[in-house]
Amino acid sequence: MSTGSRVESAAGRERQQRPTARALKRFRRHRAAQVGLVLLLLLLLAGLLAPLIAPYDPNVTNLRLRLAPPSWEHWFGMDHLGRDLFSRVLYGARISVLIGVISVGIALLGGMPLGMAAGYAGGRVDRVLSAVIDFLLSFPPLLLAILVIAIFGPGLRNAMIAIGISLMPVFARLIRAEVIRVREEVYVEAVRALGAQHLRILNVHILPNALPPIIVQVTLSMATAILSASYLGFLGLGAQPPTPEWGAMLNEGRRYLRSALHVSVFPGAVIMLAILAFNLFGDGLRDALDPRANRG
Amino acid sequence: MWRYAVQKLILAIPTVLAVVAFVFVSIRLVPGDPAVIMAGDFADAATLDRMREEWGLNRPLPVQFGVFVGNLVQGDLGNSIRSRQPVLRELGSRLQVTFTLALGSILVTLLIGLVAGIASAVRPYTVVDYTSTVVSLLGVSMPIFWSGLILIVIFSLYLDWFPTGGVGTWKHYVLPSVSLGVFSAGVVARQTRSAMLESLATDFVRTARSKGLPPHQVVLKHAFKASLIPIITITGLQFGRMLAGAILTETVFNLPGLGSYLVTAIAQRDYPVIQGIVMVFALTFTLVNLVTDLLYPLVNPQVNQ
Repeated sequence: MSTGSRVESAAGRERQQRPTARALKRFRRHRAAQVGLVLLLLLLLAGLLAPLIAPYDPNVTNLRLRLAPPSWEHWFGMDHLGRDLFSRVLYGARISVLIGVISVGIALLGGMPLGMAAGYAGGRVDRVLSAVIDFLLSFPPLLLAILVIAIFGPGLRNAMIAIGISLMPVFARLIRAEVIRVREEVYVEAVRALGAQHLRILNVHILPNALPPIIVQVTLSMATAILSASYLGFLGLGAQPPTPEWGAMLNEGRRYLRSALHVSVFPGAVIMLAILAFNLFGDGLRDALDPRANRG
Repeated sequence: MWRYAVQKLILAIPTVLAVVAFVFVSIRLVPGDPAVIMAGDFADAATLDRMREEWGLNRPLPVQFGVFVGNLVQGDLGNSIRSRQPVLRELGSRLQVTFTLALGSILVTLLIGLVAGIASAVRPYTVVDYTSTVVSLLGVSMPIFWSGLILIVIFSLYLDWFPTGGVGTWKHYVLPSVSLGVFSAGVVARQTRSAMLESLATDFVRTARSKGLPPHQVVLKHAFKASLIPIITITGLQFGRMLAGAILTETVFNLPGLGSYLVTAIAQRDYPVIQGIVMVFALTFTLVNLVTDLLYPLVNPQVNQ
């Protein structure tokens, strides 16, 4: 068999597989995505099992050991109030995952109806909604989130709402584009000709077929949400003490850069690993679900 | 070219008005009586009435907006609740710090982003490309405040090359600019690589090569020039993100800029200052978008048509 025909038969085999199986196969070949997946699973496990695996209570202070360097008893050392940093980082994973899920959930809940209405209705409704979406997109998400915090006040709950609102236009624009793409498909025309209700067409026929890019955006937005929450925490506008939020922990540690570097290094490193995990996983997912979207 | 520029300028007017209205309305969404917020919980009724009169809070919202726009056109952003000074005067010196930081950062972004992106595209799927991709990914994933702290530890505390913070000389801006610029460099590098790969595969680049032009001329004069539009677009977008990122960098490096002042104003609930800073930021984004649009016909005359 020539190389050409081998390639053709391999391509033929891939075509015969179900789309999910094809995506799974492509994902398995994506090494970087697998590294991301492993890191993500570690993050999730750390968050879920924090009360079981954390060696100490994250809020119990021991002033005799304040700023103590890493040791066998305290792997990441102690912070400025003598709290075990490793335990606080583990509990921080729980808070970060929570922030990611709730913020992205808010963004989806707000962005989805907006994008669906704009994409499905078209015409004047689309023009007005698109103008609003584009206008909000012209604001950097962090500034939008800070503006919301300025209005409703600092705190973890408001930070999650603020981040959710700041991510909303991204989802609205993406869902609008996907709805426009799918609504022109022949099968949508067919169900419309059969007299299906608009809401049913949207929920049953359009939305499931627009899901792959939305799933990718959810993953990448989780990274943005966690990063934004750490920024707000660092500025004192997000989670308040003694909540073990990574950004707030780093802010507390920066006063001791000279004497106790570990207090800033560990929270910063885990934020970076978490963002890296979501970015690697999201990129891999995009390549697997929609190989045409792979831009260089 | 001039027709295109005038068209874009006219189109920018409603955007500017929308930005002003958005910030105005947002600040008025603050729960509670604005007079109580500004005067404090223990203010007596007479003081509250005076505040309402002074700030026009007893007038209908559209009238308040009209007065606000009228004052804004004359450069009057009101007075700070805390310092009692005009907001514009308070922002003046801080504006310079933030813009110097943003310009320094954009230089760092372009330097690292363009070099890494072009090198990746010229030698795709080699060590150079993989290294550049990994570094870009790390740059995008690294929190701005963390890279800032690491730079302080290495270059200020250990090597003692640059100050840890504050302003004074150009040296004060080096570490903050690098910290803020590295974050966007990864994004610019990825975009440059992608645009350059596309340009390098076009017929006119193949023709330039077959004419016997030296490789650097083919890459820089032909392929790079053709890739400029997406690169300018992404750099413009990054400039906006940098101004938002400046809020963090200024806090890390104790720079007395608009960003750090915004954080203080939020803590003090100094709404005229918050409104003024968000307005300056938002109008700068609009201006940068306009400049980006105006640059397009300069790099590609077809845009004029």
